[in-house]
Amino acid sequence: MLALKWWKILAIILVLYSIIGGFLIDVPKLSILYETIRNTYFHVTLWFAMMLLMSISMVYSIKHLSTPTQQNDLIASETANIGLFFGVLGLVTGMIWAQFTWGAFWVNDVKTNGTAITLLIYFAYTVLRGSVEDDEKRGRIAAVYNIFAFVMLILFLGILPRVNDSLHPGNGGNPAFGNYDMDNTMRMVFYPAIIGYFLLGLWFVDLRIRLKKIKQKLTAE
Amino acid sequence: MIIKDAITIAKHELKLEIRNKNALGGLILYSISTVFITYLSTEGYIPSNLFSALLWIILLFISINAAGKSFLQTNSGRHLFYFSNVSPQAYILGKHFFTSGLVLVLMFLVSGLSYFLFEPKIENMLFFSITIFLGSLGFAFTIGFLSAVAQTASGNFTMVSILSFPVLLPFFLTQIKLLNISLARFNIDLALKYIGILCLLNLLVLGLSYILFPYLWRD
Repeated sequence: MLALKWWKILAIILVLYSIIGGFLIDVPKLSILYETIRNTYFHVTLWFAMMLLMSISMVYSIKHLSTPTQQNDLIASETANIGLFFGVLGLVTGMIWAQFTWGAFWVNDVKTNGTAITLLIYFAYTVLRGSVEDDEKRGRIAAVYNIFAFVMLILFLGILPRVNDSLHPGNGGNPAFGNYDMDNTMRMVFYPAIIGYFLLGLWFVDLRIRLKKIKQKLTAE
Repeated sequence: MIIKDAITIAKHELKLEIRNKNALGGLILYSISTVFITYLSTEGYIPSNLFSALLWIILLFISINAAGKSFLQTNSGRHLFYFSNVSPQAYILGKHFFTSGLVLVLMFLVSGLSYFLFEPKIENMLFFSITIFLGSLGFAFTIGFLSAVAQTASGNFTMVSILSFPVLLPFFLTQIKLLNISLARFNIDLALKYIGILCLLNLLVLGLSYILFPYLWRD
């Protein structure tokens, strides 16, 4: 009856586990953070999942340039879309967290600016895709922009925190989820949560690709 | 071979630009009036960090106008002519040479004019000029390449700004930092670090456009 593949079941279990465990399991008491450290299980994992999806999108863009197929293009565009969705969720959870720890929804910080740029780049990517009619051409141009923008983005996210100080946990001596502050019980929720959200993202991608294919078939008939 | 072709293309573009005096004059007038409007609206008295921010915003818009046209202006006939004569790598390099030259000239014009009007106290003139130089190269490369993307996509000018603003932000933020340092509290270690980052960004954009342009070209 339930014809779910194993990884979809795994995604459901891991996400449920991370939500229940994230709220109930004891967390270390750190100054400034206190109970808000639980946001690690949501905000940080969503971001990890987003970066993984964006990387997949980039890889498929490269693939699309070397062997242009409709499948490569669909995967590249849909992983970017779902990554964007996760990015928005990550931003919202981060903003709620910032309101209670920093006292404002938006702080002029390196990390928040990095988020804003990531989202802008991928919104520009969707606008670019929307502006081209021809399928073959759209895939090629979008792939070129995707590769260009992703490399710039990685460089930006890598460089900027090193030249600026940040309020964000993990920078400038703030307590964080890094090696020293995150204990083993936290890791037990944190890593499964990343895998869970990533698999959930892949599931979304899978559904959207199938939907697109069905739509194409219907319009072709 | 590629470099030689690229220089030929750059020379050719320059010749076309000079022949079309209206466009060039329009750009220069646009730059001057933008600076003057900023001067009038701030009444000329602004703190140095605001000066660097305003200067970069002005420079951003001018370079979008100057470099954004580089591919949009090229009509399909001329495109076909280049297509049949040179390799795509030579073509994009030639375009880069030309647009970076054009943007450099405009940038120094604008910064000179704003220096004259706003009279900011600059601690280190050398690093101020290096910042403008590296910044304009980066702007020209990035916007030039993305205008090629926009041209293949829709031939629409708004597309250039939509695509290039987010990608230009890394440049923008490091340039503002570097300019702030050269305006006040100059620190050689920090300045060299930022210059290193800017050079890296420039090389990266140049490399990426060199690799990716042949895929745009097949029309």
